[in-house]
Amino acid sequence: MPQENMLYLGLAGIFYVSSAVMGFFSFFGIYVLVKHGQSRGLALLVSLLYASVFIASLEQARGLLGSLR
Amino acid sequence: MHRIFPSQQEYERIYLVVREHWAHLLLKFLIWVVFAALLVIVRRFGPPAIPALFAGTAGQVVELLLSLYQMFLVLSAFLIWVLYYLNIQVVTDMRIVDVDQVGLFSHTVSELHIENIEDVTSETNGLFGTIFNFGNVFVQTAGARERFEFDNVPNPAAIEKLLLDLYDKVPHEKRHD
Repeated sequence: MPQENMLYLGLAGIFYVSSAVMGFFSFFGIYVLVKHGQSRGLALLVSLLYASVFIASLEQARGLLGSLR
Repeated sequence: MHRIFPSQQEYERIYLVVREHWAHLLLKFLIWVVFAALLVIVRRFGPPAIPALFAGTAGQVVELLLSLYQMFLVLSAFLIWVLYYLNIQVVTDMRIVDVDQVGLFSHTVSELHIENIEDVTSETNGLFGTIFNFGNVFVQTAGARERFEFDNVPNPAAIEKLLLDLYDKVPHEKRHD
């Protein structure tokens, strides 16, 4: 296997594993916030804000990974 | 009815809902800012200092790793706020409720009836605690959980006074002393 492919696979592995772990914690954070939060409106607002920033960062990272292919 | 804690009764009067003092939260965010500053420093001063690392394929790899680090920073800021928001102490005319969110997977709600209070102590420690007037309140109990703690709450002396005033209103025959 060419060295470039190995590098790409390694980076893709790092990207997908770390995205999955961070995505899991994000999802659970939002779930816990909405479930136990005193104000559901505030919980949803913060969750939406967070999710939009997180997804934008994820998209940016995914784009960078795509450009390495 | 909007409930602050699960077992709240309709006729229950809420006297106080308290969280960690904002200065304590700020301290946590200052530590976060140090890690965020690392990202800014690397992006700002990295390319002129080590051009080979930020050019071509190596540059793309570094950018990808920095993006993952950025995602981690966003997540950690969110979790710092979630844990701050979900940890509350409530004082009502009937009881003290301590809602503890330790990490994402541990949520504990402890209650102490006012008549079970044995002793209340407040303390203010350190430079920031003294300046911003935050500290701890310890409630010694006659119940199964021996000590209730309000950690890093604003105005601990006022909370101590409130608890003692509420205890004074409990009829003598109901007290556990």
